[in-house]
Amino acid sequence: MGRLVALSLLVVSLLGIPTVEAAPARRTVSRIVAIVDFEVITQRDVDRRMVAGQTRAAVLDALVESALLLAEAERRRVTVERAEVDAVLTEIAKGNNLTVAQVYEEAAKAGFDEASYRDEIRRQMLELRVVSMHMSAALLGSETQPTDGVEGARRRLVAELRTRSFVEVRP
Amino acid sequence: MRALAAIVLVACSTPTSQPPTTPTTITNELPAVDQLECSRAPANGDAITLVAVRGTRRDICRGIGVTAGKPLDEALVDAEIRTLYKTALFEDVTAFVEGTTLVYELRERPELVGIDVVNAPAGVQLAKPDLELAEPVAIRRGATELRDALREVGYRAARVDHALAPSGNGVSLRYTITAGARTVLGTVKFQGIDAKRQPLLNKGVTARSGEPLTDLIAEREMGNVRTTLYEEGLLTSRVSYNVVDANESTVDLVFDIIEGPVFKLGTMKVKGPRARDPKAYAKALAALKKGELARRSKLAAAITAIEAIHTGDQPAVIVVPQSNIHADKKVVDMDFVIE
Repeated sequence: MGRLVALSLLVVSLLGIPTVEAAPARRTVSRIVAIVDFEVITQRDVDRRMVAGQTRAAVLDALVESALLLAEAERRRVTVERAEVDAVLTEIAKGNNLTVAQVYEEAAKAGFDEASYRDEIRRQMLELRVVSMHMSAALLGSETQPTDGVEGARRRLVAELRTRSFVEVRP
Repeated sequence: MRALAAIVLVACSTPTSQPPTTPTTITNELPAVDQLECSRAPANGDAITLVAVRGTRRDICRGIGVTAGKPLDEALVDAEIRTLYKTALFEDVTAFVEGTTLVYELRERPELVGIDVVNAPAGVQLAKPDLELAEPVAIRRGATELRDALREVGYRAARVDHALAPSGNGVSLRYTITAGARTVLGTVKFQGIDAKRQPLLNKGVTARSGEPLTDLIAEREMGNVRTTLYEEGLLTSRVSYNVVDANESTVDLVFDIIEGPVFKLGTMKVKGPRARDPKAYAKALAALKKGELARRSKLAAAITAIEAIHTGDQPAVIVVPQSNIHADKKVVDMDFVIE
């Protein structure tokens, strides 16, 4: 049978019948990998966050957490002003014996241009603020004070937000 | 660079939450075709020669900013995936390239052809949520609206489940209610308070036994309790509440109160760039005497009197009360800032 197939291919080739050209390879540019309420997390978001040693699932989970916290910050009308980002940048520069320009240079090595690095700082500040607000509210409403700090408060808030939000992670 | 590295590594990128935009310009339907060609350009190195859309008959090309003739801009394509999703018309969007063809592959969200609400308690009229598309956040919001409406009339443990089923050219949505027992208010109780204040607190509560108890009413009553406590000079008191089952259909509203000290009035000043001569406010502040109980009603009356002095000022003034509490001396200094 194998010989027959080989023969018929040879015949086709000899008769000059054009063979079907291979379709160009398909490459996904980006796609939706998770949805958090109205926000979309894309494959490109995950790709950009990948750091050596991290799994895609862990990066995606961190992105989902971040989206939940940012949505909560918006719901609570928490804001971060430009001057506050400037102040944090100055602190980072000071703490590392660098100028702000040098901090941007270091950030560029990690794949951040000036605008996106500032945006990252703003996002982290928003997240921290919304977690702090949650901590304060928890302290006022409870006689027992949690001892697991900001990380614990963040975990609890994210768990609460997951129950209140639509979260879909796609394979 | 430890701080910098940390801030870079911890950072996560997701844009802030915005509800989907109502589609306005991309709802025109085109004849059924496998692929809509949005733009085409002659071959030129790595430049995209064709931008196409698959999986929809909607004319969405006008909403797509990537055009043929330019190199692939992955960031722009990524942004367009978000934009297309936010129209709420599509439940999935993927962008891929085949050679120099860029394709947006879409999966349309099914149309909602019907909404049912079943098992509503007898005598309770519930408005059907107003939805057009089977969009998951809107569906959940519909369930929350129904649950809140049930809680509002006393079904505090109400649960609303939803399910989608194929129907005609789309899907139908069914909300199923498990109402549970209707709960009404039994007794309002106060814990942690000096017994002599109990009658005053009772007087301040407006909810009555036998009425449905909703979250809104419980919050309102907490406000009433705070007002009563402030009237007694308990400016740093803390109030929280619990709704406790008394029996199958009755709940008690239990306020936990930490009284704190009783405060007396200290100094009183009217300040701010738009404040007038202090003598102008003497009458308005006359009822507030140093050493007297810091009563909320008297402070409120003083604010009203100060506002009256500024009647007609343009722009209109706002009187902002600022209290400076000295817990050790149990004294509160009041500044009324004219803004």
